[in-house]
Amino acid sequence: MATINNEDLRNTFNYLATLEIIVNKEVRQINGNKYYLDKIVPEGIAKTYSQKDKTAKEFADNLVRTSYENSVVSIVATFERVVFAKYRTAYGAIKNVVRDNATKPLDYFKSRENFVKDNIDRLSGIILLIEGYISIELLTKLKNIKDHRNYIAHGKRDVAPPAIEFTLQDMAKILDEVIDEIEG
Amino acid sequence: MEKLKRLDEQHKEPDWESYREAWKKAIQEIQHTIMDKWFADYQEKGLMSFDIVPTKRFEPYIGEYVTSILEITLAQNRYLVLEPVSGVTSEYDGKLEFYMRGNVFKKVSILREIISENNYHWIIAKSYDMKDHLELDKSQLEKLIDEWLQ
Repeated sequence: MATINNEDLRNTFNYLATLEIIVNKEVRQINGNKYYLDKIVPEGIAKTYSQKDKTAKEFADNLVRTSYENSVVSIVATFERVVFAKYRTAYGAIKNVVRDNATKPLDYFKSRENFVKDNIDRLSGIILLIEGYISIELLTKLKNIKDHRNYIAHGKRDVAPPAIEFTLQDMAKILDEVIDEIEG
Repeated sequence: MEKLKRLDEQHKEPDWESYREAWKKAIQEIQHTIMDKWFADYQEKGLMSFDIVPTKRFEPYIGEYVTSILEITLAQNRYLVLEPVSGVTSEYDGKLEFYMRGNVFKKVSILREIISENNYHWIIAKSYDMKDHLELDKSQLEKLIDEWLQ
């Protein structure tokens, strides 16, 4: 079991890992008995996929895939929430330092706080911000996860997928490591 | 002048249309290698049968195209699937997934790596770790199927 230090990330991971276990158990049942599918699908599609072994298994495969893809989006969403909360707190602190310590000519400008970047609203912006401050290996993994999330979230249209997909557990560990690095 | 020419070529947007055709051809080649060379013996002995299932893809950069999925039927309603995922991926130049139907967690990536203009090879990758990225050949596939059938 992965050790996830950040509480928010750990909670999301625990729910998603539990869902993954449930889905895998159900898929094993379908493998043993295709009619088991009728017990778990919405009423409207009962007997639609369970009549042939192959279609039942295809349904099971798509179930696992959909579950995994939802997990990717969900765990990255939690990571974003955590990281942006930290970024805003840090921005607030830096803004105060600038306000309190600005000397001429900087204090002539009402917009002096704008010298500190406050307009980052995407994960790619955060990645640019931390580039050079975390290891290249960790940054590459983070970019890989971000691209994977974008690939799924944007309908698999405009971003190339990663060559290798991380497991849910690996993803949680990598994102947690990044949070650890940010917290320094 | 050669250097200038090379620099100029590096700046050009790839010809995605010919890339797509080469990718489609590469998919066909690996499927036929598996069916007609590596696993032909198994088919002759009645241990495997092959189906080519047409499928449509719509992908970043290379757009829409028709390709095919290779389905290998084994005894006792077990199926192996070689399914194209994307002609362009991070790190490699195209990806297929090879998995056991109904056990999609028994899955590996089959990745194309372009070596030169007319040359590429296939990598079988079980995980992100580069130690798990090996040259794809008959024995690697046999070993994998053997593991999955345990």
